[in-house]
Amino acid sequence: MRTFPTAVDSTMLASLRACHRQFDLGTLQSYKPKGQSIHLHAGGAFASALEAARMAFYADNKSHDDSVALGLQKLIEAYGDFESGDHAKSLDRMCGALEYYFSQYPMDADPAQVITLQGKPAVEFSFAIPLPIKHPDSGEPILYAGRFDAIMEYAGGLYANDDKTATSLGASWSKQWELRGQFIGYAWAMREFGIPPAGTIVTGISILKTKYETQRAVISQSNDKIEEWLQDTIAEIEDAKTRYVAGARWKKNWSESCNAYGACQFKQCCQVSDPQPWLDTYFEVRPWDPLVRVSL
Amino acid sequence: MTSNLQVEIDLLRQRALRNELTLEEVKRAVVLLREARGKAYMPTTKAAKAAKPSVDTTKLLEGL
Repeated sequence: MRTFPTAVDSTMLASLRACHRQFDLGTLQSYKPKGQSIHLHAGGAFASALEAARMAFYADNKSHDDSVALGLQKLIEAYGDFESGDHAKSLDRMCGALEYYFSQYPMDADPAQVITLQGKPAVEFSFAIPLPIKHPDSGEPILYAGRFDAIMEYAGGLYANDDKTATSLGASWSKQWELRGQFIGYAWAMREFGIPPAGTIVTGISILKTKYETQRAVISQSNDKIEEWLQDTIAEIEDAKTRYVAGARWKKNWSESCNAYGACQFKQCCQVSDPQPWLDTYFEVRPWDPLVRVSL
Repeated sequence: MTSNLQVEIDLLRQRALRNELTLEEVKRAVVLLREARGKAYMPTTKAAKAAKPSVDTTKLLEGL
């Protein structure tokens, strides 16, 4: 059964832009792989640790060292009893990554500092903004939803900060973000909230078995770029809505998106004439609601 | 091979699962992680010097 999302986030949009079939299976039909990906689990635990450390430092005025310790405590709790096997993103390596992160970007000396919004540090907060598109079933405005890791002041400007864990950071890592819709969407959301966006800070940390590395990319987001992203986003969602209402075919991309990020999760399904047995065996239906950021 | 650090972190994980993990324990773990990073990032030339045997084994083998 297909359901058109009431709220759209950057992951759904990226899927829609990458491959219509991927969007159909993953978003409209809500197929998700069974089991938890170590990348998602470890990345989620790391994000919650950064949030805890930043809240301790910026909201509770804890010392830098105590804040990092509180972040580590959160990381260990959030990682829980997840079995990583021989993977580089094991709990001890993730703990080392957190200590390394704050050795490179100490909160008491980092030139990028979390700002205060309405009396609270601008750390890990969600947004949902109505788009000028009516939902095909309910008639309510479709929302664009997301979540900031943090909003920071840097070199006199205000930036959305996004932290990314990776297995490795190549030489071109920092050059891949200028046209990333996720980040332009953050800048649009800032603008909608009356916060003039200078751009996005993307902080990457790579976690290998033998070493850690980090890079930071600072990207500017002009008003023209934001406006063009918004118009394209509205047009893409309108197109998807039209296809959904018409019961149109969701075509495969037949190109690079099949192999991107270590291969599309539906690649095997797309190679057989009847994908249903694959879907029934290896996937489960878990609708994702970006407003509550959980699978329902 | 399991390192001392892995054992320490796993102990903390077990304590966290029982809701017994304290801030003091975690602060000690941060120090251990910092020390481990310091060792891991020791310049390779120093590490190589430290690893070099003090006795020239080539000469010893020639004497056999």
